[in-house]
Amino acid sequence: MTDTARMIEQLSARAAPVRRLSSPLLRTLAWLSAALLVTAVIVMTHAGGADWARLMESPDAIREWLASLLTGVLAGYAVFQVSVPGRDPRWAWLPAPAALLWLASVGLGCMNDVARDGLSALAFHAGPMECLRAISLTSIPLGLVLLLMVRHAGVVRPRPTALLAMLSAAALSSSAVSLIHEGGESSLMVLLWHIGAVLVLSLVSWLFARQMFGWIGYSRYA
Amino acid sequence: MAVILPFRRNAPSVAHMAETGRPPPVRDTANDDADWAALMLRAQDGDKIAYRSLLLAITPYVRAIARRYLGAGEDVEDALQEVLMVLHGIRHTFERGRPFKPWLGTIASRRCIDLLRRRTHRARHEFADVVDADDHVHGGPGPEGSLMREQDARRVRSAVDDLPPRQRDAISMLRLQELSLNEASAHSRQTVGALKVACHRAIGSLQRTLARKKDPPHD
Repeated sequence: MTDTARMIEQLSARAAPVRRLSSPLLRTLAWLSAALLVTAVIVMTHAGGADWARLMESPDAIREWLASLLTGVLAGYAVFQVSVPGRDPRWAWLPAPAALLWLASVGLGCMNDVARDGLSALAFHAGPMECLRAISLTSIPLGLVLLLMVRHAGVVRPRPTALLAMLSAAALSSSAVSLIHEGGESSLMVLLWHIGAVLVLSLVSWLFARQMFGWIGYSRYA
Repeated sequence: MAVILPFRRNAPSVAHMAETGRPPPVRDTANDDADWAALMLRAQDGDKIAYRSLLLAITPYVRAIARRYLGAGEDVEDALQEVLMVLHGIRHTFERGRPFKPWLGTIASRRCIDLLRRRTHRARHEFADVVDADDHVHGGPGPEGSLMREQDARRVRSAVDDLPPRQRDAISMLRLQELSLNEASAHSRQTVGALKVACHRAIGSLQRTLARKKDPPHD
């Protein structure tokens, strides 16, 4: 008997029943519920709570917030598509329009700031760096939870899955942080600390995808 | 990631295998996908016989995918076994109502690409080790060093000449002429995978040959 034939005998002898994956939509809803719960706890435990009034003051701020939320939701759905073998890898592009809208909204905000306040709108403030810390502290554990939910992707499409997972977690965290950070932040600082944080976290996940999945492991059923 | 699926001239019949437990003489059928999907659904429910039939049925198909990536060689069986192991570990990811072959094809292609990457990495390190070792031993300047380097070059040329033609061509194009894999593939009309295999084996043979010449056996 060859090694392969022997392996087939061993594997078939171990064919215990397994629970099939639910649909990507159901798993996305489960993930969003978990993310919503975590971010809601963070927002509620913050001293001032969610500052909806400040958000509603400006249509630009609403557009930015909705674009970041949409980026997180669509990236989450894309994760559950691309992580399954046989599904179309082009799903990875799903969050791209929302991400571009987010970027364009913040870019437009920068131009409006410059038109209103002149070059002082481009001044650097280290204060909003707190946002970077908050986004990182929220999105890293959330992203790891999402990667655990799709741990089988490590042997299928590790890099796009890891990138989208962290993009989803970081974009959702950024939209939560937008609700609690203090007002008066220039669009340039939002671009730097919010979108910058999301970009860096997503790229780091893409770069270390194999190591992360290697650490998490892929096999649920032996 | 593009999934390379081999053409299927022949496909084992599931009914035949369920009866005999062996793949039948291969024949052409368009129903593989539906048969395999049905077997996988039963396997997911814990049906060991269906699972065994499925694994036997897909083996030639996966082997063909592995050959497309790795060329004909011993790595094909390693790749096949790795694909079977991974398939077993993530068999819960096959979804009812979806085609089976793209699912299997994605897993098989991904494993083969990883295997190729590991092989290239290994070959590069082995080659670098040989070069480093020679530099270390015979790297000194001056007439003596020059003479030793000339002798070494002769030994390497002679060892390369003794290689089988495919390995000789591969090492000559990829390492001596420093052609890219695609250029060498166009020159030799061999696939990139086959060239990598040949180069890897050539390096192994050269290491053994040169080590023997350096330390001749004592009688």
